Amino acid sequence: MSYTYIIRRILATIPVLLGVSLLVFLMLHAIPGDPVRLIVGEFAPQETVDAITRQLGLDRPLHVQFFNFLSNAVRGDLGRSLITNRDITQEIVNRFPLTFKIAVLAVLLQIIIGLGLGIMAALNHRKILDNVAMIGALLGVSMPSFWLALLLMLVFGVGLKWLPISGYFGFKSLILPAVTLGLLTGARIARMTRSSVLEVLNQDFVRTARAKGLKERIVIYKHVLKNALIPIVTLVGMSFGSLLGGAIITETVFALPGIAQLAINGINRRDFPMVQGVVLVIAVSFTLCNLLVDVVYSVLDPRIRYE
Amino acid sequence: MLKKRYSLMLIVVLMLVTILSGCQPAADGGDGDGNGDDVKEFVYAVVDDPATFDLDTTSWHQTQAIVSFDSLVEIDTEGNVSPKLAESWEISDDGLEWTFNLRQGIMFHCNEEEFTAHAVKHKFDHMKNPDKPSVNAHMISAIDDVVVVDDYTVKFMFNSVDGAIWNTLGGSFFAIDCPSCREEHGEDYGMNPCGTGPWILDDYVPGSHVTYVANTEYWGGADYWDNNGPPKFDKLTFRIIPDEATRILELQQGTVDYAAVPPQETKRLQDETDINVILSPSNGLRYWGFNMKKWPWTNKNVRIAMQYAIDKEAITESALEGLAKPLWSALPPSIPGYSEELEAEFKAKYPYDPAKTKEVLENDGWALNADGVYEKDGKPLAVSMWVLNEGIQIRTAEIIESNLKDVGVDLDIQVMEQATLTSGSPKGLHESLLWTYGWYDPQILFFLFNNGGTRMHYIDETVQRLAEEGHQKVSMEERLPIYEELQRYLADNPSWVVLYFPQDIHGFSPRVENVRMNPFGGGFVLNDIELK
Repeated sequence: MSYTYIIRRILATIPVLLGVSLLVFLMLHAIPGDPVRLIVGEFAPQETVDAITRQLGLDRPLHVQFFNFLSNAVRGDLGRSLITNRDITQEIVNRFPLTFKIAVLAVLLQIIIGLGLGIMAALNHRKILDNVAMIGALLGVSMPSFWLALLLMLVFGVGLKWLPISGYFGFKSLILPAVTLGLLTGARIARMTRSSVLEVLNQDFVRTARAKGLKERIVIYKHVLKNALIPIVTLVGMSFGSLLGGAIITETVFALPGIAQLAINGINRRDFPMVQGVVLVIAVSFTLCNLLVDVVYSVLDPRIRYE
Repeated sequence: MLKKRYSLMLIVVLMLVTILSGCQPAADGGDGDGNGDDVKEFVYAVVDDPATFDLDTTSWHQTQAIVSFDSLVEIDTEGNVSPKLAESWEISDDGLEWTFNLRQGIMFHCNEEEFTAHAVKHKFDHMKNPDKPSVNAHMISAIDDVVVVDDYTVKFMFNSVDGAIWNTLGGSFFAIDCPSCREEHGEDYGMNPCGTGPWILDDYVPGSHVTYVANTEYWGGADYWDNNGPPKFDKLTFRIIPDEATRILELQQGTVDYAAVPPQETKRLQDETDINVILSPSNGLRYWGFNMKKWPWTNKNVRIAMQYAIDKEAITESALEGLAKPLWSALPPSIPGYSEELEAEFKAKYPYDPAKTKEVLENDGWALNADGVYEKDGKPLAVSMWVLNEGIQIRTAEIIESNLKDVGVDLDIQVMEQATLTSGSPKGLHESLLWTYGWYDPQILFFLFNNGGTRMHYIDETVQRLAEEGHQKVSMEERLPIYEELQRYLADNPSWVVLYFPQDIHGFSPRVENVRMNPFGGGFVLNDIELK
């Protein structure tokens, strides 16, 4: 693993981010709806609409607006929200920790549930445990997140009163959202783990390992799992990336002030710079996660080399 | 190998420690579980963030943003003007000079400035600032100038009579800010509001909650309030809970003291829980508006035919669970100008009668084509309707669609979100829309139809004249006959089908006492609330 490779990869994200910004910018201006009408209200006369449009700089040509955004963004200044007039960088910085905490917890749960169920199912291939695990995973894959969220709220919030239903009051507020996300994404990991492990189990080197008398545990953990992990790492990496962008439905249902809420409010209120800023941050975390996944590959499988 | 495994474990442990430790400080912020201490906290569930606390930069004044401010007057539960920061007033004979006598000895929250006539003048100047006018400046366009007579007397100079100005002065649009705080904070005043109101902003975590502490020195508030002193509880927390189902669960759990209740949950909450559900008339109505610039609405007979086609009872019964009233007048019962006689007259004029719709259309030369749709000059009677992406409105639209199908009209429902709808309709991109208005004064008819308006683009001399005349008098006695004439004219020359008059449904936790609704003040009198 050469450092020049990592640096090259980081540099390669720049055109990606530029492309994402441009795309989002164009999409925001292509969809109907205008923030000024939302600010001034239904009955304001056209003069007021025009005056506010000028104040916000929305009357300037699109390319000027875009380059202004870019040149400020490069300096770490994502501008001010059209609606709230608050600093967007600050707003994202304030909200990112919560989204990050949920993402980390959800990924940990996802790995535990996914790997656990998947390996168990693979080792008991076509037996009862396999079927039970896979039915569970199927349920998890097909259950909508808002429904699972409401069920968990009803049981652990309204019924048992162990946990707050919604909002953010410290760690106990993170449990239900993380479980919701962990269960649902863990189900996908479980299915992937099962098929990946099954595939490796049939390989010659596993037979050799068993033949030379290695303990079954060593065979599974050292030989099978390590080789089966590549596709799983990809999946976990991707889901971590998308969780860092915030889980829109989960954050909404649990009333959590994370990144996704910011994006959703921005879209609903046509707060152009806010949406651009949030999407930029999401794009950065996604590309970084991808890079991380590639690095992990070469750690897991020394045969993979990047030059 | 061993080393690697431990380092992995170490990473996981470190991550968990970071997360857990990061969580501690937030635990005291605005929680509603009412644990043991003596702080009485009222938790109010709201749908979204306040846009800003600077009321001059948005027209979107939600309760969570306005409770730290007072206005000069307030509209009481009967719709009369009740003194607040202004103790009394005189209006000149021509109605163009209003002199307000202000209450003395009131301090702003910063405790550095007293509320005087200068603050009123400052508010006016800030709204009218030629370089950067307030988005609400048009609300006070009838006021030319505000003159400070002495510290506690202020004179408003009008260029024309504006009969609806009491609503502006009595609402949050002309709530008084602390001049020195506004100067000091400049652009950031939106996060550092300073008023004279019963609540002082304590903490705001965007997306999570807004917390206010009681202004223990509060001077008293509007005359008609029961409690003319400081609030009777210590903390007021607005929790931002975007999801409806979550809000209701929190209300049921008792972790929220107030939430608006959707019609479909009302009966269950009334029957199965101890939630105190209170219905109050809303201040608006819902209508199916036609874009008058577009075919087929240019044909008056088609518009008349539509009046008979819609089964309004079916809509209120099945889309709104009976929690709304079918309506025929252009003004709902909660706005002055509505009258039972007029309503009965319009209802008799346009009963639900599909046969009549067909008759009117056929007399106008329409004939059913092979698809069972009326057609004239080779053009089938097919129109689209913009509908807000919201359950009740979509259900309403679906009933209209089926009603219209029965009379040979083809309706295409186009569901869209609010920003698209509110920016597209002023441009006249729609053929028709399902929309709602909400206001406290019959002046709404002026807003709706002035220069055609932004929803129906109805250019009509009589409508324009009457809508203008309607608010060029101050006294309601003089205004009402004009609105009666206007409503009659609109019934004879409709640009819409008025559908129903919804109710606001409020849910209070059982520990909330002394709830007084004020349909004119938009909700209930917060200062009168007591907590058990």
